[in-house]
Amino acid sequence: MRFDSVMDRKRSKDCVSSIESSDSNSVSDSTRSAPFPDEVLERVLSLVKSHKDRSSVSLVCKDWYNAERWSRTHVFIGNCYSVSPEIVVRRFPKIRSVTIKGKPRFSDFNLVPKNWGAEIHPWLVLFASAYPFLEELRLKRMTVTDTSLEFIGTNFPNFKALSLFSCDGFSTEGLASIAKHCKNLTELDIPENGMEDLKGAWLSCFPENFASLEVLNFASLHSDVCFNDLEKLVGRCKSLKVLKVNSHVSLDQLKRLLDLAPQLTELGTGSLLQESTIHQLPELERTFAKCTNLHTLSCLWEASPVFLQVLYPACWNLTFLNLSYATVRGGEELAKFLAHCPRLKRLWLLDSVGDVGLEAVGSHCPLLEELRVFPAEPFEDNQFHGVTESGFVSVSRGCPKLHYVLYFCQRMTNAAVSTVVKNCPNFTHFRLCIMNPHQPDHVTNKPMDEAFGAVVKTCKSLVRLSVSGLLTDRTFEYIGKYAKNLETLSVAFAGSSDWGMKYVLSGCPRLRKLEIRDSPFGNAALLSGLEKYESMRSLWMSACNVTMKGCKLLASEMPRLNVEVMKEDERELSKSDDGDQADKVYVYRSVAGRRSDAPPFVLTL
Amino acid sequence: MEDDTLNLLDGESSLPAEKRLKPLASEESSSYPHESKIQLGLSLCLCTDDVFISKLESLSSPATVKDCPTMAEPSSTSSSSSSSSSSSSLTIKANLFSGAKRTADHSAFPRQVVGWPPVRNNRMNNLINQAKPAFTQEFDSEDMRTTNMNDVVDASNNTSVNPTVWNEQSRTLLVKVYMDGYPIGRKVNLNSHICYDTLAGMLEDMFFGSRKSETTTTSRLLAESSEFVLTYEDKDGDYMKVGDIPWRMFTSSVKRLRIMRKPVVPNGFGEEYGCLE
Repeated sequence: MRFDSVMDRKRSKDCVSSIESSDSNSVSDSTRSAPFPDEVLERVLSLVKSHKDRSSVSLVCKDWYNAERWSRTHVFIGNCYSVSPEIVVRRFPKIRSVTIKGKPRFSDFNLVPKNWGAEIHPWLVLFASAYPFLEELRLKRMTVTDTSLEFIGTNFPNFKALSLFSCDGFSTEGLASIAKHCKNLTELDIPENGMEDLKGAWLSCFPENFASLEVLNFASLHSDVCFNDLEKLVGRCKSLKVLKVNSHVSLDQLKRLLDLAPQLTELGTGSLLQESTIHQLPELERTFAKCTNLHTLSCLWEASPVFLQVLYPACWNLTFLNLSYATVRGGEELAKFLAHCPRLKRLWLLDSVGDVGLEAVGSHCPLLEELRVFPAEPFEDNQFHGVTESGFVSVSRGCPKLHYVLYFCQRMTNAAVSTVVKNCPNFTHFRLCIMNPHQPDHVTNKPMDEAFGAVVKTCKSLVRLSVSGLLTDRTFEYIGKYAKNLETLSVAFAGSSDWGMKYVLSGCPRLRKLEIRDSPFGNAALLSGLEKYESMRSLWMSACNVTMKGCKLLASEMPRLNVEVMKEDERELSKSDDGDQADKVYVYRSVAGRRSDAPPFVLTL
Repeated sequence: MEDDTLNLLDGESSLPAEKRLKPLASEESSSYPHESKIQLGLSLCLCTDDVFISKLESLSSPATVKDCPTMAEPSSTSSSSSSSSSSSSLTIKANLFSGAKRTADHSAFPRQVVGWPPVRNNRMNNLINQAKPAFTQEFDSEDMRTTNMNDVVDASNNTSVNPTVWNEQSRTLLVKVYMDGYPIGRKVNLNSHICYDTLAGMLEDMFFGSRKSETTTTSRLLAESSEFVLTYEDKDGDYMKVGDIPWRMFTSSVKRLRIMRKPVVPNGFGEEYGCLE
């Protein structure tokens, strides 16, 4: 077996346990007589994958704590500043895979200035010495530079999987480094990043004999890639399972790729606009018919109906269909498509399909579990477009298994939402975005309190909630009282007084993330959560009524919280009065103390 | 998924011995019987969020700030204080309703707020890209497009994204066209026209159906005798009559088109169109 490593571990374990003798959770040496030798315990624990379970395991006793840390290969860090790389590396010696999330979620919507932080590089430097055999890195909302990408390529010879979501700071040059250096790469997944597209030939940097790729997603890149090199790459990589190309790949080219890779399970098409003639349709259909393993399909851009139908033969096993970047005209076109996807569980659409499109969804997708409807024109003030409450109700009637919804709409009613949750009582994620702030029920003109009241009263398993529309404190009273499993709450332009936030903070026992913007919650509300914030990952408040004084008080009472205040103008920050409004406040628990890389516009109190 | 800091907090803290939580002033733990409610004045909604909040501050009674527990003085009571939330929420409802009407008028406010609606930049960029068909062969315009994409993204940091994004070398300049009384809008590509006549001709076809017997060079839409007038919204948000300025100047400032029904006005048209809303 691993005799050497076992002996090494025992030796170093003695050192480690002396450092950690101040553990409050240790049940000390009486467990030496435990029935399981360490090797067995570790072997068993290595099969435990869930983070929650691993956390629980590590709290049982010191032996289990150690066994857990030695057997763990994947670490998930929900907030990169809650812990330091040194602490992670010290505790977990055998990590092969790391997932880190950085900036607060509202940074996706431009609420966090550039250069805020969340840089991956300091982590990489420590990982290079502690985890030289690191294989996987999955980052969300982190700043990743080209230098960091090159560092990954040159310091981790076993590196296999890179996934960057909503990250920024890098360009196609960085991708070229990864392609060039990572000989064992299996996954390159880079959706939705704020990256710079320097139009380089990064894809062509994969070596001639490189063939290990299983996942390739460059759908959101704007620049072209050399198609010949892409074709050769796909031809070589026999294990390729996921391929998501960008809009520059035409339907003809896509066909050539699919002929080489009919084994794909996930496909992101390029532009379905087509210059070839109708005569080539049968060939196209044949190609798609060979893709029998496809369970995920995302279509990009303008899809002319006549070419959309070539996709039908490939849709039999589809469980996830993403049309949120495609203009499918609602009603008939969508209905025809959906009729070919009987197993659909997840569906993403643009609101340009309209209520009539959603009726089609209700009629054709009995197994639907997740629906996301994105706005095609979020900044247009358009009463006649998009979806309304009636579309929402249609879907709920036809899809009783629905448990995840993200719905952008121009108008909504309390009655409709009540009906929806009556039809679908199992919501775990309910994210409703009525796009006009403070918009009431458009029929009764009342606030939307009762809508969200119905949601939290009916949906006992609700884990994530985003509220919108005209809302008084009543909504939050409902949330605090009924949403016992709620973990994430997003609030914007809502509430009438401090009571709103107080209800939530005193009521939701499982709350982990609270993000609030443009709502009238002040210092009293902020401070009412004093004892709660340590059990939460983070709190975000922007454009609320919190002042510097409230923040300072919070910071002084709770030393294990980092209370960061951001101001647009950093000069204002240094001479800010207690009575000054705190524009943006980000509070999070941390064992690493205040961060050392805060930019000038961030003040840690 | 629980993140690991939960555990790390228990075992690994490298901070010095924690301070015991000091008991706070009595006001803090009470149920805030005297806390004043912020009077929400939604009539001030017509501004960016920063200004909105500063106006809220001026409205809220000073007692709110003084509620901080460390202040030695007792929290002040507001004349409108009430410990029952239902009665106070009624007052607030009244305030909110007056504001609600305003939002029903579709004011400019919702569309000028940073980061609202919460749609990721990437998604916005892709939707804008949708306006252009992506032909694989011609990429000489790609460089410009990418550069301008970045400009748009930067601009969107502070303002809402203009839906008619374009650049000099663009093949398409899509603008929306609405006609009074007709709920569905259409899109036209202004770059496929070189003068007002062809544009008007196309719009006629779109909205009025094609006229086989049309022989006149001036389109019906542009004619003074027409019951409709073609207007456009310019960069400043004003509606101007189409046809008064040179074509290129027009295409560089137009945001959208609108075919308005002419009111029965005895004395001609002209600049009144700016306030015909």
